Amino acid sequence: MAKEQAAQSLDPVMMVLGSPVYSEDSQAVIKQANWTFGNRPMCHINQVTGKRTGGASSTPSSLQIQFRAIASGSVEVLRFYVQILPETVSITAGAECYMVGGEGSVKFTIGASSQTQTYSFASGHSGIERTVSFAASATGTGWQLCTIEVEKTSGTSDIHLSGFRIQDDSITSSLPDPVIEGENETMDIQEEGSAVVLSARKLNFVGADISASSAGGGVATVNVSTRAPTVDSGTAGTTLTTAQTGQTVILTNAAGFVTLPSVTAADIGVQFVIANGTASDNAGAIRGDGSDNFYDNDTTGGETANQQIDKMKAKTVFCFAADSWLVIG
Amino acid sequence: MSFDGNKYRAGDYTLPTYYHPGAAFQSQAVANCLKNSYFAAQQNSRLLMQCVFPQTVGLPFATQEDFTVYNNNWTKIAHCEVFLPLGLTHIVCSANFAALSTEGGEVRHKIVATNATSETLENTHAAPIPSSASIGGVFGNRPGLANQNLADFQPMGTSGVELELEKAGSASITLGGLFTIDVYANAFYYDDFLEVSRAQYYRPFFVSVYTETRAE
Repeated sequence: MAKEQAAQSLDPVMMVLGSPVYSEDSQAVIKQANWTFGNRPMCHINQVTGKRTGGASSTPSSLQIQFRAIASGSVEVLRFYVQILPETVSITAGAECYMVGGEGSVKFTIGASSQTQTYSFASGHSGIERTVSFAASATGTGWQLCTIEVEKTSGTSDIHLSGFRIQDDSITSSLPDPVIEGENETMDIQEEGSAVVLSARKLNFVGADISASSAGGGVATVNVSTRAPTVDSGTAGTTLTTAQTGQTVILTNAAGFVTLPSVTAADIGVQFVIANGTASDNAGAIRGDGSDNFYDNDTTGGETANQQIDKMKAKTVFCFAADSWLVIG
Repeated sequence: MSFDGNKYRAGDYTLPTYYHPGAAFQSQAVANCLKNSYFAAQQNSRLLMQCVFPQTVGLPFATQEDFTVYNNNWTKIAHCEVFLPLGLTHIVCSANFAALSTEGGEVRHKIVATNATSETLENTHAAPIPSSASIGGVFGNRPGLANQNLADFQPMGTSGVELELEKAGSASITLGGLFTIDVYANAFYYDDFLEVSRAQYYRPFFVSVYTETRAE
């Protein structure tokens, strides 16, 4: 919900101790505070370098930041950080060049966004500030790196960068909602009602089974994928890792096999399904790492031997203790 | 809107009881929040421009004079374009400078703000030259500022000039748009006998312009 702004005179009666307060009064104060914030845009930097170039009323110019002598690519001349507040909507970047002739360009980069402004002596751009506008949604918020590059694009005349400005634009309608990440707005992360992280500011999706991407407009799409089964038609074998827990492997070659990972107590619950999709029994279908034991109802003492899967049958193995697999089926 | 700073000159504490879910809602809570809103606005000075004048240290002798004003007339020393939002009451220019005179005299600064529709507001301020006494010594008179640098014990000073944009809620110039701000300066000595102004050496070091919203 947008935050309304209003600049208005407030009833002095509100200031009297004990006077009644109505909801409109508090709303007026909130709107006033929002107005004050929106109408105090940050002027991040507005830097000029002074030099008197001549007579009494001559315009100041710069000695310090000069374009290349000829058109030969751009040069980064300034690098600094600015703090873009989360409510910021747009940012103006401007530069003023003094030109003896020719043409040049100034490229501003703020965070993830870049824009270039051109300067032409013939078009009367000398000594005139020319601006570009950035959307805060494109630059990003928080501390953002700014760079300024200058490039002479035509001619051999002197061109100086004599001033530059990065300034937020006023927000005069209503303050937009801030983004959550990286700012003071936070949320609690819970798992089935139990707090995991209080006042979280970032969600981090880990692993190949879950991914997040930007859907634009400040919306993130989260995809959870189920693990596709592996079909192994060869005889070289499939080696599984604990990160692949839940994996189904279908052996379509009677000489195929699966090698299980070595497991520790931290891996309890890791589980795989291995199927023999052939018309022949496979004596070495499931293989351990050499020291981990297989257990079932008949083998309570455990064994390290390869586990057989009969034709057109399947077995499920899961880790129930360190170095221990329970075999079902 | 106006900022009645006599009432809201200081920020108020917001008592913890205001936040209690069962607290009776008192006018004082609203008043404190309002005062703090005004107070924050008054304190929220924003930089508008800064202008550095490279020191002569390390620069070729030939360029040193470029940073010195020796003129009876106003000489523009800084210039910028900047957006001025609504609700400001003042913009303030502060200048660090050196000025040298064997005669005494004044350092003057002028700030001019021009908006996109060419409305103009300006103000001037004069201050004594930092060193008005004779500066002669055992080594003779020092040369003009042109060939000096900070290490040469120049008579430095800080002065400034401010522009009142709004008074009692009535704007002197239309705000909420792009402005051109120019800062002029010079130093001179008025010769009473000959009734002429004589230029004196003036060198700016650093000029900054910033916003203020003041109590009225």
